Amino acid sequence: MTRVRPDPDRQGKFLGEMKAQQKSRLYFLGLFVLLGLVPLVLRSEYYLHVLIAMFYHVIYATTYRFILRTGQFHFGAHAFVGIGAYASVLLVMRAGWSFWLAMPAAGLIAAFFAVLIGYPTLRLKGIYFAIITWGFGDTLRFIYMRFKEPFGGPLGIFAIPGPNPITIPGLITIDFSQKTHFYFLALALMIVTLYILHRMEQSRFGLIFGAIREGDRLARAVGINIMNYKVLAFAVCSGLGAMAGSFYAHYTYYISPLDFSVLLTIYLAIYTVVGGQERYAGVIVGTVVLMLAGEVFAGYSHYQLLMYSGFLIVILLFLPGGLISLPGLLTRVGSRAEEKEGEKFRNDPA
Amino acid sequence: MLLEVRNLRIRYGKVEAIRGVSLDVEEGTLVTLIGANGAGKSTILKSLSGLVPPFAGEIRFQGQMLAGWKPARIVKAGMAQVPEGARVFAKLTVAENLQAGAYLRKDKEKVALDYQRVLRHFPILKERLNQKAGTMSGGERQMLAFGRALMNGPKLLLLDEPSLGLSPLLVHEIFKIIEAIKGEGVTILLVEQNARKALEVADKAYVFETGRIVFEGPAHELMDSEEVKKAYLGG
Amino acid sequence: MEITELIQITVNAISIGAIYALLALGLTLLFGIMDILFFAHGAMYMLGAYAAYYLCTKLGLNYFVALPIGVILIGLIGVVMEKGLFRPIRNDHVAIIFLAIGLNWFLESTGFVVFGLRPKPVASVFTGQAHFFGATISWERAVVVLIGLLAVLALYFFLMKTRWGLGMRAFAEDPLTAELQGISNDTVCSLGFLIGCGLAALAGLLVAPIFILTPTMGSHAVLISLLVIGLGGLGSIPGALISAFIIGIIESFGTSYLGADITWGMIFIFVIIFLIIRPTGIMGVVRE
Ligand SMILES: Nc1ncnc2c1ncn2[C@@H]1O[C@H](COP(=O)(O)OP(=O)(O)OP(=O)(O)O)[C@@H](O)[C@H]1O
Ligand SMILES: [Mg+2]
Repeated sequence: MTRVRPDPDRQGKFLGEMKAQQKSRLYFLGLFVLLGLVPLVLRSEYYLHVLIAMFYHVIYATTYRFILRTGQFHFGAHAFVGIGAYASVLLVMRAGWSFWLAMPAAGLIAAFFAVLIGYPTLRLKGIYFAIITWGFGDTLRFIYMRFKEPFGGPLGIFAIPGPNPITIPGLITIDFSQKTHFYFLALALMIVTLYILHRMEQSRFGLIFGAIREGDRLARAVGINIMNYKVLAFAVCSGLGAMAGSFYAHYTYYISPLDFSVLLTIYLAIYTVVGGQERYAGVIVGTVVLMLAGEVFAGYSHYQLLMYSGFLIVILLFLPGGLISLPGLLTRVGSRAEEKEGEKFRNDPA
Repeated sequence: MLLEVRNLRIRYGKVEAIRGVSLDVEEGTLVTLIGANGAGKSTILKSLSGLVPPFAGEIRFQGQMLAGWKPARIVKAGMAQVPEGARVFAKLTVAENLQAGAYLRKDKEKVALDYQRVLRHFPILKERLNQKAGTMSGGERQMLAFGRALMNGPKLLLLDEPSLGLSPLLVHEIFKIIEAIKGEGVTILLVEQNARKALEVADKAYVFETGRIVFEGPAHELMDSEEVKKAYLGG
Repeated sequence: MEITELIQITVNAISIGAIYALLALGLTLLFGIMDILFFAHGAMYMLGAYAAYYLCTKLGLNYFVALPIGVILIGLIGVVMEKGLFRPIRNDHVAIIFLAIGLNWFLESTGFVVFGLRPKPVASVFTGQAHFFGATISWERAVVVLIGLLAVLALYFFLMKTRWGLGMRAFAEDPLTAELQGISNDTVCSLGFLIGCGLAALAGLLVAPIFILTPTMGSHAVLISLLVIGLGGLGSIPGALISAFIIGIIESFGTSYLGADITWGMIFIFVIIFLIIRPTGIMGVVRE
């Protein structure tokens, strides 16, 4: 038996959270507008490339985090990104589809596989899911390597065409001959993905995931069929990740099985934890900070991985909330010091 | 005094579950703690066994301060506990559960004697030695947990609601065993919801209410007290 | 198919299965006792193999002297990891998995930096082959089987017949109640890491003369052992043994008749489909 008392403190907190949310929505809007203006000032192909890579990695990482937040230990993000890339490339190069059709189709195919894998396994503890998704990713890699036809074997697929040009008669033609065109496409994809994830988190859906985290049994007792939600979330996130994978393929013109190894998932896990998985902003911060830091070691992947995994270990031990919790922590420490100061004052006999 | 507790305070996060409790357990006696759900009885026992660190106050066992002691050291010093809900090791056999109770003991002969003693008190266990503890009934598990604690070779035995969920017949049996064990010279601190039964066998009693002691005294006095009767013995 | 051929393939299956069993043993122990999916198991295995290289090839130690030194050394590294890294977050399951992941890839990339990319040779101690019933097995593989078998038996004996083993099993079920019997959770966890990492190192030291040593060998091994213990049923030692030999048999027959790479693809597909249909594995173990 627990006594239920109205908690005025908690209500205040709730309102505070609402306000904070509106505020962060504004921040995001502002950020997107700024990002939209970047190509006007920034002409360097290199910097644009770094930003583009960040955009699709943000998509991978935020969708990865969403699955993690449903209480599943996902270890096969690389599988679904890979499905997206290979499916869309094959649809374009073999079936002659337009990129604009192939990309969503690749997302659907990945979502289909997600349902196929997720339905039987998501009802189990996260660990089983980890083994199966990792194994699935490596099975796919084996298939890509083994079957030259149509997957190109170990060397992969070359000369992937870019997205088909879009022409708005009399206005402009976007033919993806320039980095800026890809930049806007990646930005748009990222914004759409973040919007979808945001809506999912805000909906009934998100509340249910809150309940799932509190303990599966609790949510089950309330009569929510968690399974369907978990599968749905897994499918949607895998599909979105796959679309980013499709973008990646048509942006870099070249894919190989090496691009979709478990290391991709490891990187996403590191971005998520280092940034802080409590909030979107955390994952995004983690991705951006680590990718920038990683540029220092560009081309020396072992040193990069060394730094990333070292970072992960340090964060887990000393900053469990991730980088995003740092500002809050600092202000709290500050206010605690003030509090103490006040106490001393009050206890002062004089 | 075998056990002395002074101004014990225990916090779970910011919530203070025990707010200044003092109690004494004299050697060879049976002392009971009674009180409603959530009063903090189990919390006290946990902190006596070293599972929950106190926030303030002191615990002395055989004159020694227990501050900062690890559970293993406390067990070795002679304090054993039967936790709430028996909590036997379900996948271990009955015999292995009893061996687990003697985990720290090096005195082989005494252990063998205690083993015989446990089987004498709980003949049912003797028939089940090779059975997995998880396949036993609730009453049998309670007895096994009891036996396991006796295998610790305790001077002071902490019992957390040993009668919980048992049939009246079994409750009667458990209480008979408690008295028998006391007769062998083991001091007992008994936490009970079944206040009437507990007061019948106890020498001294403490009544708890939300983290505080509200009554204390010889068990028979409490049993006769109108207030206690009304609140805890159902009129 | 000739009967000797059949015997030969079975012998190969046993020798492959023994390595996988050994690899999976420590992993399944840590999972069964502490509920930790210890990804860094792969790194410890890799370190074991490199220990063989440094102790035998570089320092010129006798292989059988190097074996216990390597096992104990890496077991102790495991204990240090448990005390320094895992203990502070023992109750946070998600953080523990991430920590193990971080450690595995941290050690792997450290391996690249320290050991370099070039594969390292370890001279085999046993040359020549044993023959029986018309089948042949190289002595070095026979030794792996033998030591693997001994390790399984020793672990079983330790868990079922010793006081510490009893403590570990009690801890696996209910850490708090175990603590009440004086079974110190800290000690059990240290012991678990000592044995788990020691077993991983043993596997690494044993395969060092047979396999090619590269820093990535650990991650690959961890995936295989995850598949093995997944197929067997997480946390179940008999399950791990059974599935190690099943995979050994598939691999042995497959390589003889179909070729190595397609066989591994088949094993992946077989295990994944099996797990999708029956995710609790052969032994049907589910831990809540
Ligand atoms: N691990 C914990 N974390 C937070 N609060 C706890 C914890 N354990 C107990 N409490 C709280 O401390 C208070 C005392 O609990 P305790 O279990 O000691 O009560 P009890 O008297 O043994 O009750 P019961 O008769 O139900 O066993 C309760 O309000 C409980 O909610
Ligand atoms: Mg209680």
